[in-house]
Amino acid sequence: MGFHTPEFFILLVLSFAVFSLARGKRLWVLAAFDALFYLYAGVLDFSLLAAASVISYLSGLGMTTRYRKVWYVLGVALNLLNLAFFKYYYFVLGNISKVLTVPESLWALRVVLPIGISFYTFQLIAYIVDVYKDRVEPARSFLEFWVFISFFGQVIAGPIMRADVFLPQVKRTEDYRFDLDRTKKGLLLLLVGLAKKVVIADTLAPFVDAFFSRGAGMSSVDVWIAAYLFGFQIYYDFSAYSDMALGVGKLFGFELTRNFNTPYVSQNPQEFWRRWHITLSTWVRDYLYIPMGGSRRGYVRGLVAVIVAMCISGLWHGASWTFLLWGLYHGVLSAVHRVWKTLTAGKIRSGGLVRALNVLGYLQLTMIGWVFFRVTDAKVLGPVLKKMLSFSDLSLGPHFREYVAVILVLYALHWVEHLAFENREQLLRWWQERIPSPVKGLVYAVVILGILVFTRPKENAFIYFQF
Amino acid sequence: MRAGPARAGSGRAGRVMSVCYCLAFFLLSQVLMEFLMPLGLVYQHRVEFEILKDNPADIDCVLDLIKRTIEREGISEYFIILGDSVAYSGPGGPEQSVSRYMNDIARERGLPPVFNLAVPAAQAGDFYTLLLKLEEKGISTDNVIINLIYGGFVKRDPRPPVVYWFYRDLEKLDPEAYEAVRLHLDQAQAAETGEKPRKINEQIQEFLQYRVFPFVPVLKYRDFIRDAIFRKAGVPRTTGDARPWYEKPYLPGLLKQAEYQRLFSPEPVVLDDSNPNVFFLKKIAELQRGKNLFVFMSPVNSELMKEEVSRPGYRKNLSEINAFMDQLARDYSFHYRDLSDAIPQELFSDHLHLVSGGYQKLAEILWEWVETANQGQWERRE
Repeated sequence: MGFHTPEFFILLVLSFAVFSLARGKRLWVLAAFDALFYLYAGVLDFSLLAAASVISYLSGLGMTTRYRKVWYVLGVALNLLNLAFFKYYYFVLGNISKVLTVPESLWALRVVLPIGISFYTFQLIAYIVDVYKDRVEPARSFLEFWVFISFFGQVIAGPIMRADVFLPQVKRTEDYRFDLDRTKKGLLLLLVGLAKKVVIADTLAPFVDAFFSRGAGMSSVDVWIAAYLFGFQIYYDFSAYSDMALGVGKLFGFELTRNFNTPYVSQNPQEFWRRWHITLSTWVRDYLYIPMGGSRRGYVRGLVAVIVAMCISGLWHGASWTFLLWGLYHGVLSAVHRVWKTLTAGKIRSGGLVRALNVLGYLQLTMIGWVFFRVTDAKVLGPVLKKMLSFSDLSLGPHFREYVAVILVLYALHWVEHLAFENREQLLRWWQERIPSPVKGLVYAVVILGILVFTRPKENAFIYFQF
Repeated sequence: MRAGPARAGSGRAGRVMSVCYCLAFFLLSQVLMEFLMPLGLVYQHRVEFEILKDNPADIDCVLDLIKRTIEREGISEYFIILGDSVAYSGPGGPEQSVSRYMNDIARERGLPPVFNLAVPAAQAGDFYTLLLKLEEKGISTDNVIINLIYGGFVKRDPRPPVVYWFYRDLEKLDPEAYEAVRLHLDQAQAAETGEKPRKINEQIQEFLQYRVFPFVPVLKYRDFIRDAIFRKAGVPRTTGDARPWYEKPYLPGLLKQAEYQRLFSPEPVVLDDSNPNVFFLKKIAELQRGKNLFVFMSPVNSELMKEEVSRPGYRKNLSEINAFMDQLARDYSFHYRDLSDAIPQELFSDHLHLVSGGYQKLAEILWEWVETANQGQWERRE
């Protein structure tokens, strides 16, 4: 159930109303609506989430006994197996079949990827590891644990919440008091997210599809346009979902972790990953990179750890060589940046012009990366990248100027969002205190009309739902 | 940014006022939309197929605005064109459509204007449903022109469904007719989607689309408003290949595909009520009895489709279809003509569709036919 669909808004209004009224039973209400929300994806998907939750909950409790390590290994292993089976079955099978030249049909099962499995599996693994490392207390109440893992605001596409941040909030669910300011901020986030999704991301989708469907038939200029359009489509799509998740959280009194912070203003890989899919980046840092030794076991080993961690992060997105290559590309960029930083430490001044050039330069590298991510066939990737980087075919397709104008507007909008977020408190105060009510009313009405106009009858699922 | 001192009314009262203003502006916009929406937004010489194909319920916007235009401009006599992609006039643009040329002629000769409601892939059941909808909306069906194709009479496999676009409307407007073809429609749907049951979200969407959105103008017209915004912004649109058929080397190969070959099938046709096409043609004839109904068999590119149209089975079927339609026309007092060979081959764009000049020629033929049949009925306008 997408956050931009009528059925979601029906569920949201209903759950919020019942939740507000059911004093003393709010956790039960939330748990029930979480279950209902996920059941919409299918009974099998729901059973799997329930089973993974029960196993992880028991694993947490088991770690308080003398079989601590057994429960830890069991909890992590079962969650990993669950993810590996459902997500990587076809990938592994396909590659083995190619190597052994055995037809896939001989041993193929009909495996459908359960929605949100990558997100909730990482959240569960983080919980088990944190309990094992004594960073958090294991959840005693399964009800609380269920809401922690299945909260419908974030179960499908994150943010990947940590137990030390979210479980205490869930425990305080019964203390919920209606707060107008928080609710207004929640509604604003819902509105902004909805606008990003239906007005920008869904409008870009058919153009991106049309470009990439031509594969290596695109000219060099087309590949750059396609990469830019997809770069903005995926940002506005995923950050829309994340904004809405935060908004839903606020309605129920939860502060979910922010997942995006205008990533295309980044100067380098380090900054980019602090701004793009933040909860995945920090998960990769805390549960992959640091356990692999991080930067504590030597300079070279640290570089290798970065590359390996980014490759795994790439594979997390999907079972395909193109995602692995995307991860590898960003891993190499991160490693090169580290080396560069070491070599130039204290030698380059960081003035405004340098910063602007860095941002522009890194933006191009990010857009090149999106080609790895968007191309579905690994065989096409090489020729497309060659076209992109060699500038061998500079023919301008029809509507070249319009596409460039759209890209510039989107980037300007990205900066507006960046500046608005940086100055959000003053802006909100200015909006609340200085703008006359008729103007506010007009703006609200225009935004609502805009969202209603741009919502399509045939919904485009959020891109990150597939992961 | 400095916030400065707060204005009076920025507290609770201000918030309430903002919400009230928002509601007021929203309601005002809805009233304005309902009364000021121009016909050109939803209809330009013909319906906007690129919009309609994603949401057939949008036909109501077209009908409502045509109705309003007729009333506002005091048009007492007009023609409605129903049909498939031939009457719609693909693959060219709206400026090259048969209805555009018919209206040009109408203006010159003082004839009634035409409104083209043809939709590509529409079938006899869609024409019948549209006639019911026109009556429901209070748009006259006294003068109607319908195009048929040979392929509409041949056996369905079970696709295409005999009501391709407007089955939800048929269910509401003539439940008996809907029940009569329901099995066929279900089978056609199952063949299309692999017998998947409809998901709950699809049911909710459909409920909203047909039961809620028509009452909220922004939701009712949003597909057209969005399209207009994109057009204004210069967003490119997909267009068909409107070149003449002899400049398209890929056509002969393409037309060998089963879906095109079916349109010229030499298998014997069944011309009784078990054929859903016949079932709906009889319903149309019954509904239009005593009115000015013109039905024509669409022109065929007999040069490009030489092999198909020279098959004895095809010739025999066409002759039987013509005999059946002539008899039906006599029984129900409407006009029928077979225009299979009426257009010169160089004016075709493919096997059935025409280039700009072809639709111009078709417009002349249709008006001549209609004028002859209605001798002296319309006084020439100055």
